[in-house]
Amino acid sequence: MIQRRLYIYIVAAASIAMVLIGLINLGSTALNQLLNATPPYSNVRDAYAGFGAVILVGLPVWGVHWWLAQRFAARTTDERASAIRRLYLYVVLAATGIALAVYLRRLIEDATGVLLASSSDGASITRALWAILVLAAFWLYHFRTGALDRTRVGESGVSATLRRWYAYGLLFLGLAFLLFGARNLLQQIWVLLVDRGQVIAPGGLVPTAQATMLTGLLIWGFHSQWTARSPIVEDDQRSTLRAVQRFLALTGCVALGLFGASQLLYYILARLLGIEHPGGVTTNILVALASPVATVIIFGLAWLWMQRQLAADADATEASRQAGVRHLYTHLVAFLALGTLAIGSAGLLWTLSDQIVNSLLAHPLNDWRDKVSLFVTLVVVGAPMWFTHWRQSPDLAERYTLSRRLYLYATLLGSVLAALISGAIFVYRLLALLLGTSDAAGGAPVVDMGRAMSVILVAAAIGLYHWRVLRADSAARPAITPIAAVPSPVSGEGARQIPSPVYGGGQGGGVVITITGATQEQIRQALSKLPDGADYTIRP
Amino acid sequence: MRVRPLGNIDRSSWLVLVGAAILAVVGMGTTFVVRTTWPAADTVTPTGVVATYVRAIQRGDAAQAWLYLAHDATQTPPGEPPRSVLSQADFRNQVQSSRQPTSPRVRILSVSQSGDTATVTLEVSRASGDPLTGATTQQVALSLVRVGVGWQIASDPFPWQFQ
Repeated sequence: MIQRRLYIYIVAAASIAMVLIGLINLGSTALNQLLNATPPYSNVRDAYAGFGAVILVGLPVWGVHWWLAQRFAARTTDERASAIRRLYLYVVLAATGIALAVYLRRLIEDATGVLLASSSDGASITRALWAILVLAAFWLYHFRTGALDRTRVGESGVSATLRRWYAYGLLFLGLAFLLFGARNLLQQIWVLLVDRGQVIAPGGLVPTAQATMLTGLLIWGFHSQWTARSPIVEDDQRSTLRAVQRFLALTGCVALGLFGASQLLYYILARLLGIEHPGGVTTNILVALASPVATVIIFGLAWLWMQRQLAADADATEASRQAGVRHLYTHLVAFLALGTLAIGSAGLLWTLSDQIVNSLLAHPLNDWRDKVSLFVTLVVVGAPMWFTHWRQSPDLAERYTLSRRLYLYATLLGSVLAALISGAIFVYRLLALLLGTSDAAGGAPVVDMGRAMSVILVAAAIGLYHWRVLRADSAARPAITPIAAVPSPVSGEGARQIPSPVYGGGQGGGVVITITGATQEQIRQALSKLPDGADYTIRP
Repeated sequence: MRVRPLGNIDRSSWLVLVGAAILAVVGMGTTFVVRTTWPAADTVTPTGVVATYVRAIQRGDAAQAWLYLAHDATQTPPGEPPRSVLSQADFRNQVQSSRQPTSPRVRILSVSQSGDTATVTLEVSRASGDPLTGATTQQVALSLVRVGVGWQIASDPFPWQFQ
């Protein structure tokens, strides 16, 4: 049965790809001829022959196999509910959806370009329109088929997971298009406004950014509404994929928001220190500010929006999950902020070390102010973010969360790796100095040792601090209070009576349970799945 | 399943929709205003000649762009090797063959003039997939020589750079 399904749906997927490629390219070639546009293929007859053949072979093959698939699905509910069928449907939906987004973006870009006189390629608009018509028809048909299947036999297990992969994947793609398009559009508007006198041709940057944003809005808007409707919303409320998609989006927004803020402050600080071209920027500083300002506005707003969405998602679930989401968010931001702070601190020490060592070697550097501006900015952005999100001694509920442990171990890992690599470089350059290698006379090993030491100091400080926190967490874990008297199981008829639980003083409270009908070995095996640090006593 | 596009949209989604609409309208409006309020093309300043040349190239108007090129190799600015003479047909072919669906944004970075020669440095920005900048930029320097009361481009005209 599975082999038959696999055969039918693999052939259907391959043949539908042939049909789509053939139809889009054949139509484009015909439109180019009709509109006297420059054809993408040098030999039009070859194009007709090739794409015609692809359709002539692919269409009947897809037709026959899809007819068989529908026939079998109509016979049994197992067939209709099969994960292989859903895999086919969602793969086709994802592929046609992504292709649709590409052509939609091109259509909007060209149409806006024509309106703004930055593009005059009418044939490109017609070609994109044709491709959209073909893809939309196939996408809608498969979307409707999937909806009918869900209505008739429901969707659970692997099938529901496949649907989530499709929905949240496209949602993420749409969101990325929307945010990056909006950021680029705002940046272009800013440049046109502040440097209007110097722009001699606005070009197609505004239409391109606008097309990206609007395409993203359509994809995100549709899938966002679809996944927010019953019964999908109830089904997905506790889905890991949904949470992963939102946390990935949040991570991107936080990282880009911090990056934009750092760049913005860096330009401002560098100008205050009298640097004419911070970071090698040769253009007007107001134009250079366009990118960081647009990044901070768009990704800062998106950050708040994502945070609210996560909070709303958590509100719909039980209290423990709400707290888990809140902790994950806090530790994620703390981790990114610590990374920014660490890079800033290490960079600052590195620059100072460069300056001091090179001055001692009698070849002082001139570009230190630019680097100092950059690294001070990273410290200024990272430090307050880290201090406001990180808590060294939180309450018990937060102290032993998985997200805090992930944060601590990831930070420790990063620190150890950075210290290890820098340590190796330090020793290598020290040996080079002692053995008098070719560049030792110029003092290059001393400069490198100073740089490596900067990284080692910061990595060691961060690593030691977090190691102490880990130790403190372990020490503060409440011990399981020994239970003085455990009620013995009563033999005979009374053996069925379960004693009332007695709560001890351990984390989460100690519990006395009575198990009958299992050997000690079986009970020990079952209890071995308790989390790390959990303790138990078995008394016969 | 029926999905009504505007039914039951939550408040944050409405805000996103309205924000995107405002940005789209402002973007189109700004481009339109910038384009319609350009000063009239002049051929008596180096920037005026370069601006008119670039706009003609972006329109695909090779004949007008050709008017702003110095066709005499002897007019190559001092210090630069004489370049091969480009025929009008070659130039038209270059303009037509290198047309791109989306033209780049062109900004003047600097203008330097010394006697009968001038150099205009331009920044050419194209849309790109770079997530941090959204565009790739490069600088192009055009050298001009004075011809009568006007100016003409004497260096390589780079028509493909502006398309």
